[in-house]
Amino acid sequence: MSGDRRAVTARRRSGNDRAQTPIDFAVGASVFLLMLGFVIAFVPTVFDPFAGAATASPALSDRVAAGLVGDFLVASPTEPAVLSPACTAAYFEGDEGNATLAGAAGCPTGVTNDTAAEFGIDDDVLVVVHSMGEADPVGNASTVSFDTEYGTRTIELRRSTSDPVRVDRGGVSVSQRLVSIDGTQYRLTVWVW
Amino acid sequence: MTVPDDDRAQAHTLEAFAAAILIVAGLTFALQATAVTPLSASTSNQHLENQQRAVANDLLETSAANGDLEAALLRWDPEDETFTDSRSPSYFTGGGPPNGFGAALNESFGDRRIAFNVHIRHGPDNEAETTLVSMGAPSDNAVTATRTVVVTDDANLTAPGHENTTLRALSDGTADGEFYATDAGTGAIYDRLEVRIVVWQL
Repeated sequence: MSGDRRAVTARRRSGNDRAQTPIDFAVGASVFLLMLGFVIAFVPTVFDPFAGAATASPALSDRVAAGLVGDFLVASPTEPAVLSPACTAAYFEGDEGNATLAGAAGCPTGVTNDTAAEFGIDDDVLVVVHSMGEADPVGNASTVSFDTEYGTRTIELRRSTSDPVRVDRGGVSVSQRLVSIDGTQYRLTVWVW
Repeated sequence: MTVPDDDRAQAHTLEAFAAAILIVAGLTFALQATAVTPLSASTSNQHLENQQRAVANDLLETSAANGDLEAALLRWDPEDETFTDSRSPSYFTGGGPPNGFGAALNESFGDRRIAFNVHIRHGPDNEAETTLVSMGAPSDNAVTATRTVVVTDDANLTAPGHENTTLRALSDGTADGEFYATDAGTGAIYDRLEVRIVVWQL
């Protein structure tokens, strides 16, 4: 008799007295599913080739460098990296460029536009032409004299969309090209941040 | 007193944490077991390779534009048949040749611990190859850039002591020695030389 009653009690407890089991199951399942979701979201980024910096992708600075050296500043698209002195002067004079020089030399339209806007970038862009062995190119742009229709211009080959205070910190993507101006070789470096 | 099986309290939560740790450990192991992913800061980073290829192409273009490239190709001693002024071997191994093209090579690559080989292909189908600079066997992540340079029959050699020798004089036997490429034909063009730079991070 007493054995029967214990069995009944046990059966009833197993039916109703489950303590925190449903809450426990909900918490456990959600922890597991969150973890699974995170892992599935993370795995593709491991194989993403250009996922270096969070703010500016290396592809952005590379696009600006390729556009400048292959199209905007060149004398002829068949000779990339050989810069046209007139268009280079027009691009680098001041931080806005010189539309008069660009017009007189027949440079591609957009040379004097804002660099970031011209390439459709929301970030800031700094372009510096410097000597090939320069260790600190941000502050050491080359200064070159150009003979133009409007007299000789001596121009520091540096143009930026804003004060480049953050260039030395993280989140900057950098691309480089080799260019020649009047037969002299320089390095052109583009920062996007 | 016996505890019934169903009084398991937070067992499922613990189980979920255990499962999560297993998955993360699996992922960590997989990442560690893979030597290099594109995210790793390494010499095989795709962005670095793109940059090196762009700089190598630009170097060839700019050197060809200001004449340095052709001068470097013609820096050949026809009597000793060498680029290196009768030293052995006949090509450079520690850097670029001692002229404008070599200085540009050293400044853009050598000074930045990037090794480079320069080969010249010539002949009717560009099947013959002469080495100008050889720094060893390229790594798996080497990139190449090529450019074709046309040299004419009346081009002068630039090697010291042979500045007055033209390619025409070498091919018709007026001057002693031999150029590494052969005359392509009777026209004014001597040959088309394909310059190939192979660049890799040391």
